[in-house]
Amino acid sequence: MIEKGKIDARQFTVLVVMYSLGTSIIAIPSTISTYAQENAWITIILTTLIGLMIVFLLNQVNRINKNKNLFELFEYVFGKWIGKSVTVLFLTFVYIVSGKNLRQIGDFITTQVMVETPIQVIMLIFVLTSLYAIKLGIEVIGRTSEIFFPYAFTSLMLLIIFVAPQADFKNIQPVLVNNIEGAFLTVFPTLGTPYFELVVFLALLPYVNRIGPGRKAFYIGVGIGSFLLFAVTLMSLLVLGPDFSARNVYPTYILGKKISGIQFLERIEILVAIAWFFTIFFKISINFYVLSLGMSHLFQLRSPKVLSTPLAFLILIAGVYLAPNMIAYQNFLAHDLAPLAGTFGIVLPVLLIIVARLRKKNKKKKKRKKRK
Amino acid sequence: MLKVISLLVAAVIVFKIDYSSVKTGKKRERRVYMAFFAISLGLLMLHILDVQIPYVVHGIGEIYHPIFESFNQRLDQHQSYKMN
Repeated sequence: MIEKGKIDARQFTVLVVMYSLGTSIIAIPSTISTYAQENAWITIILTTLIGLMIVFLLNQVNRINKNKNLFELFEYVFGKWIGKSVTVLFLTFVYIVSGKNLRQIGDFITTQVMVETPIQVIMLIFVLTSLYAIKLGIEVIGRTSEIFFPYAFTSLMLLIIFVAPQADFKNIQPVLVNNIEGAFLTVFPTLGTPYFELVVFLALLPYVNRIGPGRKAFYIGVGIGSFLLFAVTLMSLLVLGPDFSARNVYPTYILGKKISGIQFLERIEILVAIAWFFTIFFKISINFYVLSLGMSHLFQLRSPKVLSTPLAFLILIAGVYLAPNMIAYQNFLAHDLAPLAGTFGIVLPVLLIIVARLRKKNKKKKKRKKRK
Repeated sequence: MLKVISLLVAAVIVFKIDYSSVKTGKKRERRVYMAFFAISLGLLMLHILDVQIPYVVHGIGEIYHPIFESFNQRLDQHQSYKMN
Protein backbone atom coordinates (compact mmCIF):
# COMPACT_ATOMS: atom_id res chain seq x y z
CA MET A 1 0.00 0.00 0.00
CA ILE A 2 1.19 3.51 -0.84
CA GLU A 3 0.09 5.08 2.46
CA LYS A 4 2.03 3.81 5.48
CA GLY A 5 0.13 5.71 8.19
CA LYS A 6 -2.34 4.05 10.55
CA ILE A 7 -5.32 5.39 12.48
CA ASP A 8 -7.14 3.70 15.34
CA ALA A 9 -10.80 2.69 15.47
CA ARG A 10 -11.79 5.70 17.61
CA GLN A 11 -10.27 8.13 15.13
CA PHE A 12 -12.06 6.28 12.33
CA THR A 13 -15.38 6.62 14.21
CA VAL A 14 -14.83 10.37 14.63
CA LEU A 15 -13.93 10.75 10.94
CA VAL A 16 -17.12 8.89 9.93
CA VAL A 17 -19.23 11.10 12.25
CA MET A 18 -17.62 14.27 10.89
CA TYR A 19 -18.11 13.04 7.32
CA SER A 20 -21.76 12.13 7.95
CA LEU A 21 -22.46 15.55 9.45
CA GLY A 22 -20.40 17.77 7.15
CA THR A 23 -22.58 19.48 4.51
CA SER A 24 -25.55 17.15 5.22
CA ILE A 25 -26.36 19.06 8.40
CA ILE A 26 -26.82 22.16 6.25
CA ALA A 27 -28.37 20.59 3.16
CA ILE A 28 -30.59 17.77 4.43
CA PRO A 29 -33.20 19.58 6.61
CA SER A 30 -34.20 21.87 3.73
CA THR A 31 -34.24 19.25 0.95
CA ILE A 32 -36.07 16.70 3.06
CA SER A 33 -38.70 19.21 4.31
CA THR A 34 -39.34 20.32 0.74
CA TYR A 35 -40.59 16.89 -0.32
CA ALA A 36 -41.55 15.08 2.89
CA GLN A 37 -42.91 18.11 4.76
CA GLU A 38 -44.15 17.25 8.29
CA ASN A 39 -43.06 13.61 7.81
CA ALA A 40 -39.41 14.56 7.21
CA TRP A 41 -38.34 13.06 10.54
CA ILE A 42 -39.77 9.68 9.49
CA THR A 43 -37.84 9.91 6.23
CA ILE A 44 -34.63 10.49 8.22
CA ILE A 45 -35.28 7.39 10.34
CA LEU A 46 -35.85 5.27 7.22
CA THR A 47 -32.74 6.74 5.61
CA THR A 48 -30.69 5.91 8.72
CA LEU A 49 -31.81 2.27 8.60
CA ILE A 50 -30.89 2.01 4.92
CA GLY A 51 -27.63 3.87 5.70
CA LEU A 52 -26.68 1.20 8.24
CA MET A 53 -27.41 -1.47 5.62
CA ILE A 54 -25.09 0.40 3.23
CA VAL A 55 -22.36 0.24 5.91
CA PHE A 56 -22.96 -3.53 6.14
CA LEU A 57 -22.55 -3.75 2.36
CA LEU A 58 -19.33 -1.69 2.45
CA ASN A 59 -17.95 -3.88 5.25
CA GLN A 60 -18.68 -6.91 3.06
CA VAL A 61 -16.63 -5.30 0.27
CA ASN A 62 -13.78 -4.83 2.73
CA ARG A 63 -13.99 -8.54 3.62
CA ILE A 64 -13.03 -9.47 0.02
CA ASN A 65 -9.46 -8.63 1.02
CA LYS A 66 -9.04 -6.68 4.23
CA ASN A 67 -5.48 -5.57 3.47
CA LYS A 68 -6.27 -3.91 0.15
CA ASN A 69 -7.74 -0.45 -0.16
CA LEU A 70 -10.53 0.32 -2.62
CA PHE A 71 -8.26 1.08 -5.58
CA GLU A 72 -6.24 -2.09 -5.05
CA LEU A 73 -9.53 -3.99 -4.71
CA PHE A 74 -10.70 -2.72 -8.11
CA GLU A 75 -7.64 -4.23 -9.79
CA TYR A 76 -7.74 -7.35 -7.60
CA VAL A 77 -11.40 -8.08 -8.50
CA PHE A 78 -11.86 -6.67 -12.01
CA GLY A 79 -8.35 -7.22 -13.36
CA LYS A 80 -5.72 -4.63 -14.28
CA TRP A 81 -7.32 -2.67 -17.13
CA ILE A 82 -10.98 -2.79 -16.12
CA GLY A 83 -9.82 -2.03 -12.58
CA LYS A 84 -7.94 1.05 -13.77
CA SER A 85 -10.98 2.22 -15.78
CA VAL A 86 -13.23 1.81 -12.73
CA THR A 87 -10.63 3.74 -10.68
CA VAL A 88 -10.79 6.63 -13.17
CA LEU A 89 -14.62 6.72 -12.97
CA PHE A 90 -14.56 6.50 -9.17
CA LEU A 91 -12.00 9.28 -8.91
CA THR A 92 -14.18 11.46 -11.15
CA PHE A 93 -17.00 10.87 -8.68
CA VAL A 94 -14.82 11.75 -5.67
CA TYR A 95 -13.59 14.83 -7.54
CA ILE A 96 -17.17 16.02 -8.14
CA VAL A 97 -18.12 15.33 -4.50
CA SER A 98 -15.07 17.30 -3.27
CA GLY A 99 -16.05 20.22 -5.51
CA LYS A 100 -19.65 19.93 -4.30
CA ASN A 101 -18.59 20.14 -0.63
CA LEU A 102 -16.40 23.13 -1.33
CA ARG A 103 -19.20 24.86 -3.22
CA GLN A 104 -21.65 24.13 -0.42
CA ILE A 105 -19.56 25.82 2.25
CA GLY A 106 -18.71 28.66 -0.15
CA ASP A 107 -22.39 29.27 -0.90
CA PHE A 108 -23.27 29.14 2.77
CA ILE A 109 -20.64 31.64 3.88
CA THR A 110 -21.21 34.07 1.01
CA THR A 111 -24.99 34.12 1.45
CA GLN A 112 -25.22 34.09 5.26
CA VAL A 113 -22.01 35.23 6.91
CA MET A 114 -19.61 37.14 4.61
CA VAL A 115 -21.86 38.40 1.85
CA GLU A 116 -19.33 40.79 0.29
CA THR A 117 -16.53 38.25 0.00
CA PRO A 118 -16.11 36.46 -3.36
CA ILE A 119 -16.94 32.76 -3.15
CA GLN A 120 -13.59 31.87 -4.76
CA VAL A 121 -11.72 33.35 -1.78
CA ILE A 122 -13.74 31.31 0.74
CA MET A 123 -13.25 28.14 -1.29
CA LEU A 124 -9.52 28.85 -1.67
CA ILE A 125 -9.10 29.20 2.10
CA PHE A 126 -10.89 25.90 2.73
CA VAL A 127 -9.05 24.01 0.02
CA LEU A 128 -5.65 25.32 1.19
CA THR A 129 -6.41 24.23 4.77
CA SER A 130 -7.34 20.79 3.48
CA LEU A 131 -4.21 20.73 1.31
CA TYR A 132 -2.11 21.28 4.43
CA ALA A 133 -3.93 18.37 6.11
CA ILE A 134 -3.25 16.11 3.10
CA LYS A 135 0.43 17.04 3.15
CA LEU A 136 0.60 16.01 6.82
CA GLY A 137 -1.04 12.63 6.16
CA ILE A 138 -3.91 10.46 7.36
CA GLU A 139 -2.54 10.07 10.91
CA VAL A 140 -2.59 13.83 11.48
CA ILE A 141 -6.09 14.13 9.99
CA GLY A 142 -7.25 11.37 12.38
CA ARG A 143 -5.70 13.01 15.45
CA THR A 144 -7.00 16.47 14.50
CA SER A 145 -10.51 15.10 14.15
CA GLU A 146 -10.30 13.87 17.76
CA ILE A 147 -9.46 17.41 18.90
CA PHE A 148 -12.28 19.12 17.01
CA PHE A 149 -14.98 16.49 17.48
CA PRO A 150 -15.97 17.48 21.07
CA TYR A 151 -16.47 21.09 19.97
CA ALA A 152 -18.62 20.14 16.98
CA PHE A 153 -20.63 17.59 18.98
CA THR A 154 -21.16 19.86 22.02
CA SER A 155 -22.21 22.85 19.95
CA LEU A 156 -24.75 20.75 18.07
CA MET A 157 -26.12 19.28 21.30
CA LEU A 158 -26.33 22.77 22.84
CA LEU A 159 -28.16 24.00 19.73
CA ILE A 160 -30.71 21.22 20.15
CA ILE A 161 -31.06 21.84 23.91
CA PHE A 162 -31.38 25.65 23.66
CA VAL A 163 -34.05 25.62 20.94
CA ALA A 164 -35.98 22.74 22.51
CA PRO A 165 -38.24 25.03 24.64
CA GLN A 166 -39.59 26.59 21.43
CA ALA A 167 -40.60 23.21 19.96
CA ASP A 168 -44.22 22.90 18.90
CA PHE A 169 -45.37 19.33 18.23
CA LYS A 170 -48.30 20.59 16.17
CA ASN A 171 -45.76 21.26 13.42
CA ILE A 172 -45.23 17.55 12.78
CA GLN A 173 -48.87 16.57 13.00
CA PRO A 174 -50.74 14.76 11.54
CA VAL A 175 -48.20 11.95 11.40
CA LEU A 176 -48.22 9.98 8.13
CA VAL A 177 -51.68 11.17 7.12
CA ASN A 178 -50.83 13.59 4.32
CA ASN A 179 -48.08 13.14 1.74
CA ILE A 180 -47.17 9.56 2.69
CA GLU A 181 -45.76 8.80 -0.77
CA GLY A 182 -43.61 11.97 -0.60
CA ALA A 183 -42.10 10.84 2.72
CA PHE A 184 -41.05 7.50 1.21
CA LEU A 185 -39.87 8.90 -2.14
CA THR A 186 -37.66 11.46 -0.35
CA VAL A 187 -35.61 8.62 1.13
CA PHE A 188 -33.73 8.25 -2.16
CA PRO A 189 -32.47 11.86 -2.57
CA THR A 190 -31.65 11.92 1.16
CA LEU A 191 -29.44 8.85 0.79
CA GLY A 192 -27.29 10.80 -1.69
CA THR A 193 -25.75 12.89 1.10
CA PRO A 194 -24.03 11.35 3.08
CA TYR A 195 -24.88 7.63 2.93
CA PHE A 196 -24.00 6.81 -0.69
CA GLU A 197 -20.86 8.93 -0.35
CA LEU A 198 -19.63 6.74 2.54
CA VAL A 199 -18.08 4.45 -0.07
CA VAL A 200 -14.94 6.65 0.09
CA PHE A 201 -14.22 5.12 3.51
CA LEU A 202 -13.41 1.83 1.79
CA ALA A 203 -10.19 3.56 0.76
CA LEU A 204 -9.41 4.38 4.41
CA LEU A 205 -10.65 1.23 6.21
CA PRO A 206 -7.43 -0.78 5.57
CA TYR A 207 -5.49 1.98 7.38
CA VAL A 208 -7.32 1.31 10.65
CA ASN A 209 -4.78 -0.53 12.83
CA ARG A 210 -7.28 -3.27 13.85
CA ILE A 211 -9.77 -4.05 11.12
CA GLY A 212 -12.43 -5.73 13.34
CA PRO A 213 -13.00 -2.71 15.60
CA GLY A 214 -12.63 -0.58 12.47
CA ARG A 215 -15.71 -2.19 10.89
CA LYS A 216 -17.62 -1.76 14.15
CA ALA A 217 -16.46 1.89 14.26
CA PHE A 218 -18.02 2.38 10.83
CA TYR A 219 -21.46 1.42 12.22
CA ILE A 220 -21.01 3.54 15.36
CA GLY A 221 -19.88 6.58 13.36
CA VAL A 222 -22.83 6.41 10.97
CA GLY A 223 -25.16 5.80 13.94
CA ILE A 224 -23.96 8.91 15.84
CA GLY A 225 -23.96 11.04 12.68
CA SER A 226 -27.47 9.90 11.76
CA PHE A 227 -28.77 10.55 15.27
CA LEU A 228 -27.48 14.13 15.14
CA LEU A 229 -28.94 14.60 11.66
CA PHE A 230 -32.27 13.28 12.90
CA ALA A 231 -32.22 15.52 15.99
CA VAL A 232 -31.39 18.66 13.99
CA THR A 233 -34.02 17.91 11.31
CA LEU A 234 -36.65 17.18 13.97
CA MET A 235 -35.83 20.41 15.82
CA SER A 236 -35.96 22.33 12.57
CA LEU A 237 -39.45 20.94 11.92
CA LEU A 238 -40.65 21.47 15.49
CA VAL A 239 -39.31 25.00 15.89
CA LEU A 240 -39.47 26.46 12.39
CA GLY A 241 -42.24 24.32 10.92
CA PRO A 242 -42.07 22.24 7.72
CA ASP A 243 -42.93 25.11 5.35
CA PHE A 244 -40.32 27.53 6.75
CA SER A 245 -37.70 24.73 6.82
CA ALA A 246 -38.42 23.97 3.14
CA ARG A 247 -38.31 27.58 1.98
CA ASN A 248 -34.99 28.30 3.69
CA VAL A 249 -31.85 26.88 2.13
CA TYR A 250 -30.14 26.79 5.55
CA PRO A 251 -32.83 26.15 8.18
CA THR A 252 -30.24 24.86 10.67
CA TYR A 253 -28.55 28.27 10.66
CA ILE A 254 -31.91 29.97 11.20
CA LEU A 255 -32.41 27.50 14.06
CA GLY A 256 -29.15 28.81 15.56
CA LYS A 257 -30.56 32.33 15.39
CA LYS A 258 -33.49 31.19 17.50
CA ILE A 259 -31.24 30.52 20.49
CA SER A 260 -32.28 33.00 23.16
CA GLY A 261 -33.63 33.08 26.68
CA ILE A 262 -30.58 33.84 28.78
CA GLN A 263 -29.51 37.44 28.07
CA PHE A 264 -25.88 36.80 27.16
CA LEU A 265 -26.83 33.90 24.88
CA GLU A 266 -28.07 35.95 21.93
CA ARG A 267 -26.90 35.90 18.29
CA ILE A 268 -24.55 32.99 18.84
CA GLU A 269 -25.52 31.25 15.58
CA ILE A 270 -22.06 31.85 14.15
CA LEU A 271 -20.54 29.72 16.94
CA VAL A 272 -22.82 26.90 15.82
CA ALA A 273 -21.86 27.57 12.21
CA ILE A 274 -18.14 27.39 13.08
CA ALA A 275 -18.76 23.90 14.44
CA TRP A 276 -20.09 22.92 11.02
CA PHE A 277 -17.02 24.43 9.39
CA PHE A 278 -14.98 21.81 11.26
CA THR A 279 -17.19 18.97 10.05
CA ILE A 280 -17.11 20.27 6.47
CA PHE A 281 -13.34 20.72 6.67
CA PHE A 282 -13.00 17.03 7.54
CA LYS A 283 -15.41 16.02 4.79
CA ILE A 284 -13.43 17.99 2.20
CA SER A 285 -10.14 16.65 3.60
CA ILE A 286 -11.30 13.01 3.50
CA ASN A 287 -12.55 13.32 -0.09
CA PHE A 288 -9.41 15.18 -1.07
CA TYR A 289 -7.24 12.55 0.61
CA VAL A 290 -9.06 9.68 -1.14
CA LEU A 291 -8.71 11.54 -4.44
CA SER A 292 -4.96 12.00 -3.89
CA LEU A 293 -4.58 8.37 -2.79
CA GLY A 294 -6.46 7.14 -5.86
CA MET A 295 -4.40 9.32 -8.18
CA SER A 296 -1.17 8.00 -6.70
CA HIS A 297 -2.44 4.44 -7.24
CA LEU A 298 -3.47 5.22 -10.79
CA PHE A 299 -0.14 6.81 -11.74
CA GLN A 300 1.94 4.62 -9.39
CA LEU A 301 3.35 7.51 -7.39
CA ARG A 302 5.23 7.03 -4.13
CA SER A 303 2.92 9.13 -1.96
CA PRO A 304 -0.55 10.76 -2.02
CA LYS A 305 1.20 14.07 -1.32
CA VAL A 306 2.83 14.27 -4.76
CA LEU A 307 -0.25 15.42 -6.71
CA SER A 308 -2.02 17.14 -3.82
CA THR A 309 -1.17 20.75 -4.78
CA PRO A 310 -2.37 20.62 -8.42
CA LEU A 311 -5.41 18.63 -7.25
CA ALA A 312 -6.28 21.34 -4.72
CA PHE A 313 -6.59 23.87 -7.54
CA LEU A 314 -8.54 21.40 -9.67
CA ILE A 315 -11.02 20.91 -6.78
CA LEU A 316 -11.36 24.68 -6.56
CA ILE A 317 -12.25 24.74 -10.27
CA ALA A 318 -14.77 21.92 -9.71
CA GLY A 319 -16.39 24.00 -6.96
CA VAL A 320 -16.63 27.06 -9.21
CA TYR A 321 -17.90 25.20 -12.27
CA LEU A 322 -20.22 22.82 -10.43
CA ALA A 323 -23.40 24.83 -10.98
CA PRO A 324 -24.24 28.21 -12.50
CA ASN A 325 -26.33 29.34 -9.52
CA MET A 326 -27.96 28.28 -6.25
CA ILE A 327 -31.18 27.06 -7.89
CA ALA A 328 -29.30 24.76 -10.27
CA TYR A 329 -27.25 23.55 -7.32
CA GLN A 330 -30.35 22.84 -5.17
CA ASN A 331 -31.90 21.00 -8.13
CA PHE A 332 -28.73 18.94 -8.44
CA LEU A 333 -28.91 18.02 -4.73
CA ALA A 334 -32.56 16.97 -5.01
CA HIS A 335 -32.51 15.18 -8.37
CA ASP A 336 -29.07 14.19 -9.65
CA LEU A 337 -26.80 13.68 -6.65
CA ALA A 338 -28.47 10.51 -5.38
CA PRO A 339 -28.36 8.69 -8.77
CA LEU A 340 -24.71 9.73 -9.23
CA ALA A 341 -23.66 8.79 -5.70
CA GLY A 342 -25.80 5.63 -5.83
CA THR A 343 -23.92 4.40 -8.90
CA PHE A 344 -20.69 4.42 -6.91
CA GLY A 345 -22.08 3.93 -3.41
CA ILE A 346 -24.39 0.97 -4.10
CA VAL A 347 -24.04 -0.42 -7.64
CA LEU A 348 -20.23 -0.52 -7.58
CA PRO A 349 -19.91 -2.28 -4.16
CA VAL A 350 -22.59 -4.82 -5.18
CA LEU A 351 -20.73 -5.46 -8.46
CA LEU A 352 -17.45 -5.87 -6.55
CA ILE A 353 -18.98 -8.45 -4.22
CA ILE A 354 -20.65 -10.42 -7.05
CA VAL A 355 -17.55 -10.50 -9.27
CA ALA A 356 -15.29 -11.39 -6.31
CA ARG A 357 -17.57 -14.32 -5.35
CA LEU A 358 -17.78 -15.57 -8.95
CA ARG A 359 -14.00 -15.46 -9.21
CA LYS A 360 -13.63 -17.33 -5.96
CA LYS A 361 -16.01 -20.02 -7.19
CA ASN A 362 -14.14 -20.30 -10.49
CA LYS A 363 -10.84 -20.67 -8.65
CA LYS A 364 -12.27 -23.46 -6.49
CA LYS A 365 -13.62 -25.24 -9.59
CA LYS A 366 -10.24 -25.01 -11.29
CA LYS A 367 -8.51 -26.39 -8.21
CA ARG A 368 -10.93 -29.31 -8.09
CA LYS A 369 -10.36 -30.05 -11.78
CA LYS A 370 -6.59 -30.01 -11.26
CA ARG A 371 -6.88 -32.49 -8.38
CA LYS A 372 -8.98 -34.83 -10.53
CA MET B 1 -4.45 41.45 -17.81
CA LEU B 2 -3.44 42.24 -14.25
CA LYS B 3 -5.40 39.20 -13.06
CA VAL B 4 -3.55 36.93 -15.52
CA ILE B 5 -0.15 38.28 -14.49
CA SER B 6 -1.04 37.89 -10.78
CA LEU B 7 -2.13 34.30 -11.37
CA LEU B 8 1.06 33.49 -13.28
CA VAL B 9 3.22 35.02 -10.52
CA ALA B 10 1.27 33.06 -7.88
CA ALA B 11 1.61 29.88 -9.96
CA VAL B 12 5.40 30.35 -10.26
CA ILE B 13 5.70 30.85 -6.48
CA VAL B 14 3.54 27.79 -5.71
CA PHE B 15 5.49 25.73 -8.26
CA LYS B 16 8.86 26.78 -6.80
CA ILE B 17 7.77 25.86 -3.27
CA ASP B 18 5.96 22.65 -4.14
CA TYR B 19 8.18 21.24 -6.88
CA SER B 20 11.08 20.79 -4.47
CA SER B 21 9.15 17.93 -2.83
CA VAL B 22 8.70 16.17 -6.19
CA LYS B 23 12.21 16.89 -7.49
CA THR B 24 13.75 13.95 -5.68
CA GLY B 25 11.19 11.52 -7.16
CA LYS B 26 11.26 9.48 -10.34
CA LYS B 27 11.06 11.05 -13.80
CA ARG B 28 7.55 9.64 -14.20
CA GLU B 29 6.37 11.38 -11.02
CA ARG B 30 7.75 14.71 -12.18
CA ARG B 31 6.01 14.33 -15.55
CA VAL B 32 2.64 13.50 -13.97
CA TYR B 33 3.06 16.43 -11.56
CA MET B 34 3.91 18.84 -14.40
CA ALA B 35 0.92 17.63 -16.44
CA PHE B 36 -1.52 18.13 -13.58
CA PHE B 37 0.00 21.47 -12.68
CA ALA B 38 -0.40 22.62 -16.30
CA ILE B 39 -4.03 21.41 -16.42
CA SER B 40 -4.95 23.15 -13.16
CA LEU B 41 -3.18 26.37 -14.21
CA GLY B 42 -4.90 26.26 -17.61
CA LEU B 43 -8.34 25.83 -16.04
CA LEU B 44 -7.69 28.60 -13.51
CA MET B 45 -6.60 30.84 -16.39
CA LEU B 46 -9.83 30.08 -18.27
CA HIS B 47 -11.79 30.97 -15.15
CA ILE B 48 -9.93 34.23 -14.68
CA LEU B 49 -10.48 35.14 -18.35
CA ASP B 50 -14.24 34.45 -17.88
CA VAL B 51 -14.25 31.69 -20.49
CA GLN B 52 -17.42 29.63 -20.20
CA ILE B 53 -16.74 25.98 -19.36
CA PRO B 54 -19.75 23.58 -19.28
CA TYR B 55 -21.09 23.22 -15.74
CA VAL B 56 -20.67 19.84 -14.03
CA VAL B 57 -24.36 19.59 -13.00
CA HIS B 58 -25.45 19.91 -16.64
CA GLY B 59 -23.22 17.00 -17.65
CA ILE B 60 -24.47 14.81 -14.80
CA GLY B 61 -28.06 15.79 -15.67
CA GLU B 62 -27.53 14.70 -19.29
CA ILE B 63 -26.55 11.23 -18.07
CA TYR B 64 -29.10 10.65 -15.30
CA HIS B 65 -32.18 12.69 -16.31
CA PRO B 66 -33.40 10.21 -18.96
CA ILE B 67 -33.15 7.32 -16.49
CA PHE B 68 -34.67 9.04 -13.44
CA GLU B 69 -37.10 11.37 -15.22
CA SER B 70 -40.28 9.62 -14.09
CA PHE B 71 -39.03 9.32 -10.48
CA ASN B 72 -38.07 13.01 -10.38
CA GLN B 73 -41.45 14.04 -11.81
CA ARG B 74 -43.22 11.97 -9.18
CA LEU B 75 -41.00 13.46 -6.44
CA ASP B 76 -41.67 17.00 -7.69
CA GLN B 77 -45.42 16.42 -7.31
CA HIS B 78 -44.81 16.35 -3.55
CA GLN B 79 -42.78 19.56 -3.48
CA SER B 80 -44.19 22.01 -0.93
CA TYR B 81 -43.26 24.91 -3.24
CA LYS B 82 -41.89 25.19 -6.76
CA MET B 83 -38.19 26.00 -7.18
CA ASN B 84 -38.34 26.70 -10.92
